Amino acid sequence: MSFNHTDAFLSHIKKEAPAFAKQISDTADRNPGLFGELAEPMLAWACKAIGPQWLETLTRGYTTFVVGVNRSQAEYERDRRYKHSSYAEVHSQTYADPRFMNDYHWGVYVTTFAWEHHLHIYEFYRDQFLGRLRRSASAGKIIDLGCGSGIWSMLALARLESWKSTLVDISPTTLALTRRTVQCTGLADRVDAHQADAMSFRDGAPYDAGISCFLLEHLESPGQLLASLAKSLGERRFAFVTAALTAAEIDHIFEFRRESEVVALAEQAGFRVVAMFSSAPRSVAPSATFLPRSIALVLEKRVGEFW
Amino acid sequence: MKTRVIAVVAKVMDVPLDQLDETSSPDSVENWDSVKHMALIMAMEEEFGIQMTDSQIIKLWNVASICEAVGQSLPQMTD
Ligand SMILES: C[S@@+](CC[C@H](N)C(=O)[O-])C[C@H]1O[C@@H](n2cnc3c(N)ncnc32)[C@H](O)[C@@H]1O
Repeated sequence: MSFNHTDAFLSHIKKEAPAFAKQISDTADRNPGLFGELAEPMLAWACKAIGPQWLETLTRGYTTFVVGVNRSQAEYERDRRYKHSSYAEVHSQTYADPRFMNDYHWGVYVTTFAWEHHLHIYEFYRDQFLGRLRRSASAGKIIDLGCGSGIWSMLALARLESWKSTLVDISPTTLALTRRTVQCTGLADRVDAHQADAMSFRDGAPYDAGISCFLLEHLESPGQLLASLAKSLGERRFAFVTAALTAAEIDHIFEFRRESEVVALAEQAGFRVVAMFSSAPRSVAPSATFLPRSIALVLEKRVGEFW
Repeated sequence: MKTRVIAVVAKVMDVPLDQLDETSSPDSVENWDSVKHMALIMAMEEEFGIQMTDSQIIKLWNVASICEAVGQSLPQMTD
């Protein structure tokens, strides 16, 4: 029988950080097929990219990230606002800090399959976005803004054999880790990665598809990012965009409170919303004011004002 | 201190006091997931006026280990 990365990861985290393992095991138990479909290739990729220390690195990244998220959310419940409002301040404390970014990089990576509401966003992505790309063209190029680990592009390229992706992230630490992952997973010849500010990156435009996952809430003016994404795409091309709502983290500065706010920004930027999914954790404290959740949108670039 | 720690656990996890002891853990308390774990840590920090580090928080795995970490985080008594 072949080595199962998922079982190895679940038993490692159960042993090292039992309070943190429960949520992941619950996600796995409730979504048996879907969880394995995403977790196993992601863990195999991480294992190749990190090497022998992969279990320790992923566990430390995930647990450190979750501690930070839960602390931030508790402070947000108390203060009713995100802690930071200045991008420059966040940038120096996070994206520009290699120590911080190393844990953050793998922490965010693990949440993609470990958090049940993010696993469901993957399902939506697979069915509603990748399905559309496959039907729209047999080959093309994607622009991925705020790529982080590059996971959304990697998942796309693994399914769409003739597509390529251009990855853009502002953090040199993340980009170095992502380049290594892409090398180790055999996707390097279909990926090019740039360290740049996504707000102004347009090299190589027009693109045939766009991705920007969990970047909007990190920016002072998310509308500007969406406008830039729209400018990079050809007419009637699709984009997949996600954002966090009422979910505090150290580097979240734009507080979306309602799904309609993200929709309105996308429409103002020149998109039509083709599909939308708002995904929330199963349980939050009954006393919570805020439901920390994520929205995913499939967008089509409009040609004119109305269509 | 153990009694105070257990009282905080009971409140945060919403479990009767008499169902908890030093061995209580995420395995034995159904509500004890990562969100509750952090709520518990923050309640401990408030109760004892301490600040726990990330690496301490991650390793805590039952009531006894929480008592130990709280003890380590309390200001040292001097004579
Ligand atoms: C929460 S992570 C999301 C990563 C990835 N898209 C995912 O969903 O897993 C946010 C990423 O945005 C990057 N970022 C923040 N500001 C940026 C900017 N102005 N331009 C490009 N990337 C940025 C950060 O370095 C980080 O990697």
